[in-house]
Amino acid sequence: MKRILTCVLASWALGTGPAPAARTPLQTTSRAVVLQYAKTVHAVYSDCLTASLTLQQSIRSFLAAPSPDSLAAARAAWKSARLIYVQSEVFRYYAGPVDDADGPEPLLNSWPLDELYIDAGEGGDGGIIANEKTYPDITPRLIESLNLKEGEKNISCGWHAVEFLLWGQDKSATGPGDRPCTDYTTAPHAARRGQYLQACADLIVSQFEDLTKQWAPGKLGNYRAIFEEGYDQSIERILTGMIFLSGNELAGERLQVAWDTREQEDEPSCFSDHTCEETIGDALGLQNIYRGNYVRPDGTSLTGPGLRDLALLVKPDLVPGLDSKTDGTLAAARSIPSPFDQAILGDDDSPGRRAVLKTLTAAEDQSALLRTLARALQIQIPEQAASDIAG
Amino acid sequence: MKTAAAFILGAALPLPAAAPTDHPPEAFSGGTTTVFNDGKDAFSLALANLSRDNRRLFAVGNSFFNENWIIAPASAQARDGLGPLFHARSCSACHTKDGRGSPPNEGEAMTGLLLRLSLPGQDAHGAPLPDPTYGTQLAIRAIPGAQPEAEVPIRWIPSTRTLPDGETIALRRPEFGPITWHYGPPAPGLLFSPRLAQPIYGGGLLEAIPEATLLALTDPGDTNHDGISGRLNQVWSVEQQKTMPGRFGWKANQPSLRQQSADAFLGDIGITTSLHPDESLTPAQQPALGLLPNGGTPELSDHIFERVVLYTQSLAVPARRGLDNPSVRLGEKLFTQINCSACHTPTLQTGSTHPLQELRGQTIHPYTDLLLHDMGEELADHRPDFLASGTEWRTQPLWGLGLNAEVNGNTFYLHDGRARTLTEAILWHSGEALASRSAFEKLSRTERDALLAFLASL
Repeated sequence: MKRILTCVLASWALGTGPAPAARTPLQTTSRAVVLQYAKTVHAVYSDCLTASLTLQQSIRSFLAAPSPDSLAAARAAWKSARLIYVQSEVFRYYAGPVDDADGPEPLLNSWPLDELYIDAGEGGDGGIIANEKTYPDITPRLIESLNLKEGEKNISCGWHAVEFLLWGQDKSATGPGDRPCTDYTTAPHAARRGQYLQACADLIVSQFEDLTKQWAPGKLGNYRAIFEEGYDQSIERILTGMIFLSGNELAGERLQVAWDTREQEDEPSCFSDHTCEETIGDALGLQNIYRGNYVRPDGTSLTGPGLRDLALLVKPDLVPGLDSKTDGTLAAARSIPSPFDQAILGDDDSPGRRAVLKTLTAAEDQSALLRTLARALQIQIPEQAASDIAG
Repeated sequence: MKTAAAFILGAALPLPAAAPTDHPPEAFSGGTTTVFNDGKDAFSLALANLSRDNRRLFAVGNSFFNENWIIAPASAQARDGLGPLFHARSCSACHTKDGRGSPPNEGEAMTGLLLRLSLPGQDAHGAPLPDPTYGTQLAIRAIPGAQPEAEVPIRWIPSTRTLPDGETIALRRPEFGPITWHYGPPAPGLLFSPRLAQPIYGGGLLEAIPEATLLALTDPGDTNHDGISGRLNQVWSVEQQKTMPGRFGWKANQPSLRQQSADAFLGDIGITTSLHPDESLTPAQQPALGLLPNGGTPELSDHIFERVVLYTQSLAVPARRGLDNPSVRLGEKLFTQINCSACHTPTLQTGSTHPLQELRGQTIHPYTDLLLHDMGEELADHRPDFLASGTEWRTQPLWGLGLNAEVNGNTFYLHDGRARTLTEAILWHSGEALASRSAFEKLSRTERDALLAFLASL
């Protein structure tokens, strides 16, 4: 099947192939799914851009007039932006614009954040923020340059850096971090801390500007243009993203590690305790692509063919299982009692632990069924390591 | 930004590998644990037969192997405790994508290469004697507020070797210094040994080879007069409090993956475990560093440590490639003909007692006997390690060799990463390997290429 599609594609490229009317049902459906996916990706990244602009602005307002209210508004803007971003994680893992060699993923989402690398706790003098001598000017470019997983550098920017700067270290067993707004007024290095926070937010905005451009419609030569044209390879990419997000990242790295270790802060959003909501968002992102339906922040729906339609065509007996596991991961994620870092505690019988285990099991099963679907489409999805943060 | 051309060339995705049922038995370098992947992640995959439960444990180990350790006290308490002295922030920083490390260029700091230290002599267990100030490993990094132990520039000294047919090969060896010491001078007579980060994949299978099998391969007195006198290192096991065979590391100084991992956590990242509950600070360093916050006692819990150990045991060997290539088949014949196989043993069996049952009863092709061999003066570090002399090295496994370029984007071989090609690596072979090396040099260009093609297929 794949070879046929490739030959047909090649001959279309040469302008000598069959006209669109001669496409098989599989080709027609594949193409429709790919076009809908591309529309969805653009919508999600556009919504991320809008939300990160709101975040950027709320941080400006906070820094201009720090108060518990303006801090709360900035925190709320962070959470809103994250809820959209996690729905975009399903677009990772196939070296698309977000995680190709130059992609922003390591700068956006790396974990764990080395808090003391950025900002010494309890009034200490370490960290980039306190180090005016080595880092006189805090700019987005500087922060970007300091972010590297290996060698001398460490994780210094992205979502969790902003989260850390808004909430502070999570020292509490029962709540999130609790940084006072005086950290931005009277505390040592307050002005530089503010610059750092703003620079991180500015960097996130520029990254979503780039991603949105790469997925914008009608732009000659951008990623979307080629993604849509090479649609048989793109089905492989879509499936790759779904399989690795569900089986490797969500089930393994995010849920299994926390469930297995019971380490309270071994969660991606440990400063804000926002992990439950984000787990739901990841599961929702998977369902969005499976069912071809993305509900935007303004309440409108982007609906069209999804992977489910492809499954109905090539392997309909898989569909009940795929439905059950895709919807099931989401339902299970919704049943995890917030906050996540307490849900994983206690004995295995506790409602929280049962819900986390149910979610990760459903995600594992979802991944396995998607691999079966890939095989039915004669697509070989390679094994891939999780935590591929450095790319 | 991605260009249109790069995308059309399909650079984004690796070519799909054919299903395992399509492959001949020789491709299964790791028996039924073998994975079929020749892309960037070829060294990072779990044993093909790893159970679902063990895969979940593997995922946890993977997380703690790959993610950075951070400065204490941090919110993510399971992850803090970096340093105060360290070499790198994560296992993956040096064991890049579960493969080997790279040495630095001139002017660069070391990451994938570290420096072992010792003074002449042995302790009660036969281990190398530590320097009183700097211990047995040099720490070139420290957390903010602490001084690293030293700065060590590297210089690459070039040389050439001309083969009988006129081909000239560029070689190089590293020199270190002048060293800037931050805790006072070391003791006189300090011994150094640069060590490249070892690849991790396949470790479980190597661990599962019975001791009796390795013993049967030894011939310390060269009783069969073939010029090869492999010896099993005998090293101190901290966990079992006894001497036992060493099989891991460039001088086979580690008896198990568990002990190797605990030592690496302490020495490379500054992370304590119940096997090594104290930070490795010497008396000279205690005043400055002893009171710095740590990440708990131990910093890495037994629960999580066990999963990291399982991870190191469960990284799979990738299948061989290109078996149909006539050049590869010729190269395989030559490999045996010129006696490379005397030390780079092609086939071994794992035993029936490894705790991970997925590793038991496997026919494997590691191309190593895990024994110590004298490799001659040019490659020597002159730093003994238990029974290993200053000129001996453990036979390096060759499985996965051909994928280094794909996984790591580079190729560096031998203990200090001096060899940039397999030809260079072969040319540094001497001592017990001299006869084989000379035979290689005398092969025709076509034959040499065939041997290299064979090595690349592993």
